[in-house]
Amino acid sequence: MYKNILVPISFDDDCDAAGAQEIARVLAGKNAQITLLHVMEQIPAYAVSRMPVGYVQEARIAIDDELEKMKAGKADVSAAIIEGHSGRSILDWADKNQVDCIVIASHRPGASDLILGSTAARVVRHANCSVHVVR
Amino acid sequence: MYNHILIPVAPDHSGSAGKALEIARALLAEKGKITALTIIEDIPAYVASQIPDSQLDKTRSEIAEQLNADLGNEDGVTTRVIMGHSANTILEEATDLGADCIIISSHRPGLADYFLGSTAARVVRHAQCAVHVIR
Repeated sequence: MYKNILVPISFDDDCDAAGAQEIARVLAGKNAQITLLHVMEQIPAYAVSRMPVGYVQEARIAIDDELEKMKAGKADVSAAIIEGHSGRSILDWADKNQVDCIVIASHRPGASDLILGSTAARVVRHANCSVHVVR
Repeated sequence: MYNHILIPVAPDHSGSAGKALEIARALLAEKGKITALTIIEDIPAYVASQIPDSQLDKTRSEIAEQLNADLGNEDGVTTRVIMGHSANTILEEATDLGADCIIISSHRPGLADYFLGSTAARVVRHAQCAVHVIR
């Protein structure tokens, strides 16, 4: 089926990370690799200067812990954290690492989606590989 | 996993639905159903008036036969051919059938996608259920 599956994890309450991982598992072929990827949105400079020293570093460690928990005991699952713009960075990472399927959780569309795009919408539109949107 | 998977198949492309069917089988819950759906694009009334009804019926039955020949014999697969607008009708059918996942093929995005939407893009954006886009 698929050989290299990317599961972006956002840690938002309304996103179904467990569901996405379950789907990834089913879509994974033999010897497939699954990567859990979290994108830390970049913070504007004016906001960074207001934050306590080491805050970003601590946040990163906390996220790393969560990802470690998710992949615990699964040899074919790895985790990565990158910084950047969520939609764009997911697509770049997928291209660079020859991902053949992205499994991404999305909230159900509401009126605001007609005006604003979501990360999932951007990923699905511009990815070069297959994309599974979990709702 | 999913109980009712909808596979939209473009007219005359039912032979290439193999990949979609493979993914559907992996994602389908036990005793789940698969519906293969072909939408025949509505033609404007001023054009329709120039085409004999028998011709439309013939086209419709040819497309239905082809879809049936390719996918009708698959276990647990129901085929359907209806007239309508591709993306909107897929979304309506998904709601009417109570589908919880749509598996749709898409071409790889090119420059044109920045200006024009594709059927898959519209379906993924507006569906209430999970969507798997194959590229």
